[in-house]
Formats: sequence, C-alpha cells, structure tokens
Amino acid sequence: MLADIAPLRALPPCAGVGLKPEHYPLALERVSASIFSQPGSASWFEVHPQNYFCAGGPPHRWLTAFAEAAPISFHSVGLSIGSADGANMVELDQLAALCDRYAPAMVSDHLSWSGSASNRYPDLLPVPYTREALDHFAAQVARVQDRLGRTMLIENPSRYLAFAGDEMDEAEFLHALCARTGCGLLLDINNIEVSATNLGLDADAMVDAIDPKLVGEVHLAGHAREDHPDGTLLIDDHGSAVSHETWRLFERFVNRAGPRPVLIEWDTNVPEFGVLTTEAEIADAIMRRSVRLRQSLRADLHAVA
Amino acid sequence: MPWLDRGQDAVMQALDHGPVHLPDGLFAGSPERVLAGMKVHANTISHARLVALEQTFPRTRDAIGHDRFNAHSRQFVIEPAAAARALNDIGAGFDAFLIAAGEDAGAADLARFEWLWLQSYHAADATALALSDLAGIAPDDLLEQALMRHPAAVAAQFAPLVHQLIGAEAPAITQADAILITRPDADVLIAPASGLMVTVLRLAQNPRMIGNLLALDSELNDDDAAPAGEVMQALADLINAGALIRAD
Repeated sequence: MLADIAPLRALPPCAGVGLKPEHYPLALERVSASIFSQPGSASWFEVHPQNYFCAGGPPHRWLTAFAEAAPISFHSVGLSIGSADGANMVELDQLAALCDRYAPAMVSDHLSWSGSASNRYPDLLPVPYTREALDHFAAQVARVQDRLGRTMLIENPSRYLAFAGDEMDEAEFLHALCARTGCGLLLDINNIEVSATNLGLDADAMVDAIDPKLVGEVHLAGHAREDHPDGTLLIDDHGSAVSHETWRLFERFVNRAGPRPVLIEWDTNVPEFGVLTTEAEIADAIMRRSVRLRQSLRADLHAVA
Repeated sequence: MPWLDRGQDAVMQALDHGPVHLPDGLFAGSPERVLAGMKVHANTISHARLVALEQTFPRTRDAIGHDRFNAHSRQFVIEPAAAARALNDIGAGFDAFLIAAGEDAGAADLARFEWLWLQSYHAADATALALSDLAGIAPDDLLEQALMRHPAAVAAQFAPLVHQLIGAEAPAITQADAILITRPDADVLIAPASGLMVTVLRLAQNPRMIGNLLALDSELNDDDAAPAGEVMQALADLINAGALIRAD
C-alpha cells in the first residue's frame, strides 16, 4: 500500500491531463467554470516541475491559478535518481521548494538516470535490473523522499535496450523498490507497450505482474513507430493519440485494479485542448466500464455462493 | 561490468562520442538492435537540447536563418558548459559563442537581448513602485526613500540590428540609446531607454536613496555627468516603466 502521502487535495481516481502553456487560458476557464470536473471529463492536472523552477513570472501565475482550482501532480523529469553520482541535489532542492509552495497532490519521477553532474542528458536512460542498481536506486529514492518529507511514485521506463546482466524482471525490481522505500508506482501503460515491443516481452504478462495496490497513478500516451529489418522499434515521444494496444492494456489493468488517477500525456505535437479531454473521457469511460464489470462479477460470485 | 563504477560511464562515452565506446556485453540483443536503441537515446538528447535553444532564441534564429542557427546550435549544445546545464538554462553564453563562431555582432547581440528577455520573464515577482506611491511625501522624506531595481528589470545598450528588429514592434526603440526590459505585472514589456536610465538602473542594483540617485553626477566621471533634472527625469521614466521597487 502507498505510505503517508497526505496532500491537501488527493488525486481523484479519474482522468487528468498534462498541462501545457498553450492550453492555459482555455483549461483554466473550463476548470474555473466547473465544466472540466464533471464526470466523464478530466479533473486534475499534471506538470513537469522543472518548467516552474524559476523565481516568478507568468509560469507561477498560471500554476497558482490552477492549483487553486484543481488537484495538481508534479511529474519530475530531472532528479536523475539512478545516476551513479546520486540524485541531482540542485534539482531536488528546487523541487522541494516548489512542493512547499504548491503542496501538490502527488510527486513522481522515473526509474532512470540522466547523466552526471558535469553532463546532463535531457533523457530518461535505462537502469539495469540488478541487485547493485536496486541497492543504489532505493538509497536515492529514500534520500529524495527524506528531503521532500513525503513518499513519491516511481514510473516504469520505456526501454529500447535490455541489459545482458539483468538479474530480475521489471516488476520484481519495482516491487522490491517499493518494499524497501515505501514509494509507490506510477504505471505508464504506454511504456509497457513500448518496452514489450522493443525487447520482445509479453505486454499482458508485464501488466499482470504489477501489484495494483502499489499503483498510485497511471499514465497513457502515444508513441512513434519505426520499422527496422530486425523488427519494430516504438519510441516514447508522447506525440500522438493513445494507441489501441495501450487502451487494451489499460482496460486489462483497471479490470483487475479498479479506477486510478489516469493521466493523458501529450508533450510533442501538442494538439488542441479538446483532443486531450476527449482522450481523458475515453479513459474515464473505460474505468466506469471496469467498475460495472467488477460489480457484475461480484454479484455473480454472490449468486454462486 | 559493474554498472555504477563503469557501466554508466561507458554509456555516456557512447552517447557523446559514438557507439564504438560501448563495451561488448553490456546490452543484450544483436549489435544492430543495440545500435538502434542507443540512437533513440542520442536523438532524444540532441533533439531536446536543440529545441530548447530554438525556443530560447526565436528572433536570433529568424535573423540568421534556420540552417546557420542549426549549425551553431549543434556545436553549442555539445560544449561542456552547455551540456552541464539544465534545459531551462542551456542558452546561457550563446551570444558569446556566436561571436566566437564568427557570427555577425548584431545577431549575437540579438541573442543577448533574447536571453535578458527570458531572465526577465522568469524573474521573481515584486510590486513595482508607482509615482503615485510617492505622492504626498514631504520633499525631505522623499529624498530618504530607498529604491532598488525590480528583479525583472534590465536596461542595456544593444547593436543597431537589435534596435531595428525590436523597433519594428515598438517604433520608439529604433532611435533610442538603449532598451529597457521590465515585467511590472504579468507581461514582459519593452521600452526605449536613455543612457542615463541604464546608469540609474545599474546603480539601483543595490538599495539607493532617491537623494543619492539624484546626486548621481558626483559618482560619474565628467563624460557621464548629468544635471539633477535629467537624473530626475530618468528616475521618473524608470518608475513609470515599472523598473523600480521600494527597498525598505
């Protein structure tokens, strides 16, 4: 179970959208008019805190307005938790200050690393699933959580490379990480489709292996596709609609886990705001369907009993 | 291979200098597949840095053309100083890099203007001083009022190209000595400035009493000396533009 996250406002178990500057006016208008938080539409927002690591100005004016109107989730992309140098303490201090300012409903980052102190890569690089990497990553997550004074979620990665020396599978690594640190999981279903396709893994098995009690948030996004002579390569670019396969895997997960806070991520080739809310409505519809299915199954079991 | 001691360094070497630096046996799968995976990461890193630079310097990109801007950018983002920065700060020093790369001084100064504009956009919020705030204060007390630069305010002299391009949006800038960038409220504002306004704002980097600012001529060399009336006008223009705050 997730530990002691006690934000002022929790993320609701329904769909939210990633907040983009080009959508600020319309999104705020809709959420302020309460249209946005009606059932069947998105009702919370996620931001990359790194976009607000500035002293002031318009970014903070907008974020303040949104934080007053709806729950906010901070999805960090820069802590570089898996770096051999340790998590980036400058970014961590900035994130802590932003958390103090906005009291977000959720804070998350990735099972990844992003270079060293002298060479920062704006990417989420893979971590091997070894005991050595687990020891190091868990120590760094603990360090981050201690600094933030709260537990966080760690997102499963999109993988383009498999380490020859992996000693466990992804779910085992993530579950062990949660057990050691008390962190939760941000389950990115698109990342599962990407990793499974690129590495020849069974996506259904990957979804089924995740303990739903640990999942505090779900991400859905689109990806790009490259066809190579030796197979398809999916690239996690967040630049298109959620794929049919990712929707299917999402439904598979929620049928087992029940509704969760679900984010529609769209970071490149960002479409009009309405496109994002339409995707959010699909996610909510799937979760409502899963609730009905679970109720029906319970009724059937009761009848049999 | 121990991941923390050597594996990460090997991946960084491969990302920076090519897949020949990637040790055999680190990744599973065929060499072609490993290369394709490494390319995804290398492309993501390069793309993110280049896009961040484009978004920081749109006017400079327009002025020198996409191809030249792109060629400069590709060199700049792999410089150690740029590679060590977060994306938000990756543009620091791009103007000096353009000069060193032989780019026109005007274009480089346009990059300096855009960097200062971005600094203003992200600067701390503060309540700008208004002339009405000073109304009704007795003259002696007025001279004792301490002021300082608004965190988002900057004034500087730029190359003629910058005045010409920015002047297309704010015509008075074309002939001005300098350009004032302020953000007294939500939006960044651009206004013409005199050389004296640049000097006053520079002095107001630290808290200064109005009386000391009006005695500016005593602090300047003979070439820069200005009558108190002109200093008063510069001060009023800075206050009207939202470039100063109360320091007490």
